[in-house]
Amino acid sequence: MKLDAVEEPSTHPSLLERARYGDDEGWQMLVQVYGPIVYRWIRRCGAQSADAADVMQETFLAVAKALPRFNLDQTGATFRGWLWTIARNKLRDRQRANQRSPIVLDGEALQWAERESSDPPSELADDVQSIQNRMLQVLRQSTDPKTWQMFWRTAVEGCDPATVAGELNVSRWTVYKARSRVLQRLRKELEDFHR
Amino acid sequence: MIATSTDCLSIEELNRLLDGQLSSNEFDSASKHVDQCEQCQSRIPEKWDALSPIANADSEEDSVLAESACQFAVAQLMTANVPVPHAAADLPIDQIGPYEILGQLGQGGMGMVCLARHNRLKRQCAIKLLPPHRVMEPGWLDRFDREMTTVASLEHPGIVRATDAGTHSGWHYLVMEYLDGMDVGKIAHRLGSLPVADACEIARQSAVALMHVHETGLIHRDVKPSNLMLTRDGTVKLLDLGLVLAGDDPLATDDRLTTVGHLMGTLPAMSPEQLLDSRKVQPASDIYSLGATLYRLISGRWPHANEGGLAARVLAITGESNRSTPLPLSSFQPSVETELESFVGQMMHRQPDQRPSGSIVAERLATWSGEANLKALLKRAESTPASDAPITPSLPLATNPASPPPGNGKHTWTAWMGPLGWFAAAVLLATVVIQIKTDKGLVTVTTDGKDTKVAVEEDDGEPRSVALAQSVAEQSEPVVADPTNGIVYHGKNLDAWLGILQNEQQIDSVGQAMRAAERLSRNSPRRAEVAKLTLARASEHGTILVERPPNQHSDVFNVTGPSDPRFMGYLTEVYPHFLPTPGLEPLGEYLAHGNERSKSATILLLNQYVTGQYVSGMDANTDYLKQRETAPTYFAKSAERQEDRAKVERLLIRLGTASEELRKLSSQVSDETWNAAKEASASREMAWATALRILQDSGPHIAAPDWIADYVEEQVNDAVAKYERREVDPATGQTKWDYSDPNAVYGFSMGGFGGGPQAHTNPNPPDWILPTELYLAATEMRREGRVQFPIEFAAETLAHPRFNWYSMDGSSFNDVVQGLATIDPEAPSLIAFHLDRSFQEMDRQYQASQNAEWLRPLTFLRQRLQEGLASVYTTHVEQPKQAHDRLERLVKSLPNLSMYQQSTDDNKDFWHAMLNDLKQRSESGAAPE
Repeated sequence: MKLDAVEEPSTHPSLLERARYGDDEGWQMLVQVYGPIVYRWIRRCGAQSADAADVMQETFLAVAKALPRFNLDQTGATFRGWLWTIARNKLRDRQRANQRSPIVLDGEALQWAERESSDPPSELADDVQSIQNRMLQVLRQSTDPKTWQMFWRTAVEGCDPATVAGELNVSRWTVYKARSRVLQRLRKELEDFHR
Repeated sequence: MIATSTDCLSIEELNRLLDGQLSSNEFDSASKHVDQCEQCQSRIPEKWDALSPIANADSEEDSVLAESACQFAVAQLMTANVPVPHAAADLPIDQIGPYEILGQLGQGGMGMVCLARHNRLKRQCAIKLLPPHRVMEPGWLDRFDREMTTVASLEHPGIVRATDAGTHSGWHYLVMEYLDGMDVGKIAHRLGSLPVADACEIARQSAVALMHVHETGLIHRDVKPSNLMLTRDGTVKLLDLGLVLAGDDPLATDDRLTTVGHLMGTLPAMSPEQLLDSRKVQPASDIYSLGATLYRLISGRWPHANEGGLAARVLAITGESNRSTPLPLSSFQPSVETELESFVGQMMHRQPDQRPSGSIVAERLATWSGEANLKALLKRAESTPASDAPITPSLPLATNPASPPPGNGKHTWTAWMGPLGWFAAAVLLATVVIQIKTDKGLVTVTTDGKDTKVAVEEDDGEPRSVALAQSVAEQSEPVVADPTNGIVYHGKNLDAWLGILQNEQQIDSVGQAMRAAERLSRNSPRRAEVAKLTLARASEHGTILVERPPNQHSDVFNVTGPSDPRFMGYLTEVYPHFLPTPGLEPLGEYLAHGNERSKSATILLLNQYVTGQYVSGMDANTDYLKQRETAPTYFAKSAERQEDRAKVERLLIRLGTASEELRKLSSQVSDETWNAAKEASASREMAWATALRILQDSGPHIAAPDWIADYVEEQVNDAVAKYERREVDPATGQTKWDYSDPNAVYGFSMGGFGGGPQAHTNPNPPDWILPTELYLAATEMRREGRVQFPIEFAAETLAHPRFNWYSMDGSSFNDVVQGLATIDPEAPSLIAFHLDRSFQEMDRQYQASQNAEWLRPLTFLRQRLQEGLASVYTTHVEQPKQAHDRLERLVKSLPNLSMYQQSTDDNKDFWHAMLNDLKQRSESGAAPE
């Protein structure tokens, strides 16, 4: 049987793995995907945008240093929890350094950083959704365009695989396989974040 | 179990495969099977209902994520050269030129040293690699090339031999003979101290090699244990000749101290003359270092190691006092003969001309090295496991300067190394500053890649050096100032820095010059001139966008962001030091006469001063900044004296001039992203707020200039005009709420999920919404009859979810509502009406979509409701019964909101009270008041 899509190995290292091994591109993607989440947490703690940007950067500089020591396989450790721990500490440092307390954004903003909360000020589902959105952008860059199209039409736009197979003149299995391959990568990335 | 490629998949396995739920390996083997198995393929359903939930990915992306600060920070981090330490030492390449790279031998300050083998000759060799990104950085290639030529010119059994050099796909490499053995730094680290005879033999052989170096007219400049290699046959070889220089080279530069880590490893072996001024380095400096090395090998610790921290040691090495004489060797090692002890002392004599030459050292040391057995020593070292902790806790042998030392955090020195940052140590930037606060003043060790300086200032200290201060404070030795060079900072004097400040094009150099000039001009009559020159460059780079510059002492990473915000980062860090005197005067001049860029920058600086705000957080806490007069004190004091009053009045007028001259530019505002017009507009608003703040600080003696009211009038008229042009919903006759995607502008939106446009649940802020301060001023002025605006405009603003309300000093929401009610008694009803519209809208959208995000505006309104709008609403809303039921539904659903906080009882009580009021009114059947 002839394969219509370009073969590519499915065992991609995850972003986290790539960044851990000092891969520049992995690092850039990591920042792109996770940076805004951290920024949002800090904002929700009541910090102003300029402060949040600083704290976010400081968080990632610390992440860069500590990443090789972060062990994903350790039980109970999630990247999200770890990221939040670092961000919260950086925010505290910042609040101590600034004698002025950050201006409160709106009535709901609480001083989260002062709480001993091990969870970031966000819903997990929200974070995951947000990361998924940006992760898809990143994955798209490293996925063969045809594979991506098959994935996108079926998994995101909700078209029938059979229809897409007909349009692109490939077998249904090819479409399913493309879709499944990207989904599998996406799942793996998201598992790194919160499983 | 997952099928192997020969077995067909079960239906469950097939489903998991199709849904992407298998692990990578399982996926590979399962899909390989299906690729070839028509039967499995035929079992794949036409249509599959269990399609993944990714199709539902239409939830709102928070507008917070679209904020430019966030985007900017992410972009910065992405382009920043952030070194992620490798979890595993992966070799970057496996073949360079004709050499096959076999493994890593070590990581030096400059690059990596690898074990390699020549393809054809099969000969093992060591290759020093300079990575391509280093080649681009100034200084690295020079140093690399220098090592190449030097090593090639030195043929001596005691000096490592170079055999080849070249470049390969951007990498520069230097091939040297492979030395099987261990460097003496490692040996000393493992064994602690060495037998006297062995130590003397190592030093003797090194002295012979140094003789050869010196005879060739060169100086090694970096003699220390880790640069001596003990090979298996018992020979000692000099390593790392990258710093070797001709003694008469007038441009002799010391680019060794490029990292903090390297400085740490090198400093204790450095001679006083080298520490004070690297240009004074001479062959005798190598002898000093060799003496210090010998001392270290015999005693197990560096001379002066008892002096405490690094700074104290610097003071001790350079100090004139007798107290800084190292402890006698015999106090560590009783077997050391008095003669040897005094000879080592002679090698480390403070005066270079009093030290013995290399040949004398070699000759004399032979007396004590007769029983040496270096082969046995190497074997012993190899069989001793490397200990985790440094043998001399107060100073490790930095054989591996770019990485954290072992025993992290256990020792006092790591405690202060921490804030300095190994991060910085790993990054090359030709500036190393170690500052230590002592009770006598601030000791600064600096190098700009050319000169190394130890300077003492009677001035402030930096917070990050506080930890160090303790270890130094214990010793009460007098502080020694740089005897020859006067006041210098990073090796240059004030005039040199001012030259850079005025002419340099590269932003970081300008920033560094700003910092340096500011420091050097403290307590100097030239301070006003320096302040003015610092501000002058704002005419090219001034903006109100500020990017924090790299920290003064650490966190140095190469950011390639836009240069203007970066310039402002430096300016907003440095200029506050000049305020209020003498810095306020130049600020005023640039406000009046500067170009648009200067005006924006000066308005920002003045605003930060009057609000007590600094952009660069850490540096704001220096003693120097704390000592200066704060804006409230300064302006209050100025208001008391006639001539000072005139100054403040002139400053206020000039703020008005600046604002007026920015007006034309600001009127060109379009809806696009940030541009000069928006910046001008924001600057004007800031100028206005700054003036108000100055007036407030100055008290009643200073009258507000006319432009302040004119500005409010202009802004109100502008907002009202926009309000009157706003889009109105034809069905209701009311303002149409805009939910279009604000993220789209930033190209960050993920639109397209689920086929439709994303839902945005917060109405966008309309262009007619005034900032809080202006709104408050406008209502005041309306009561005085100075401005006009329709009451609908005021009411709708106040009740709009996106009105950015915050409590200002002395103003309460009740006052505002009261004020509006005196202008027009209908105001409370109008406010209630618009609040009701918001509630209805939320209710309708939520009922229709069951998406609780639609309730978020309620959280935006809560503070205003709590501060008084709640009673306006409950008293004036038209249909209290419906209002009650609706609000009850909304409040009950609030916990479904993502990011909803498990609210305090306070919160619940508030909503409860509001509902209660509505209920009472509906039950009493009262008409709105």
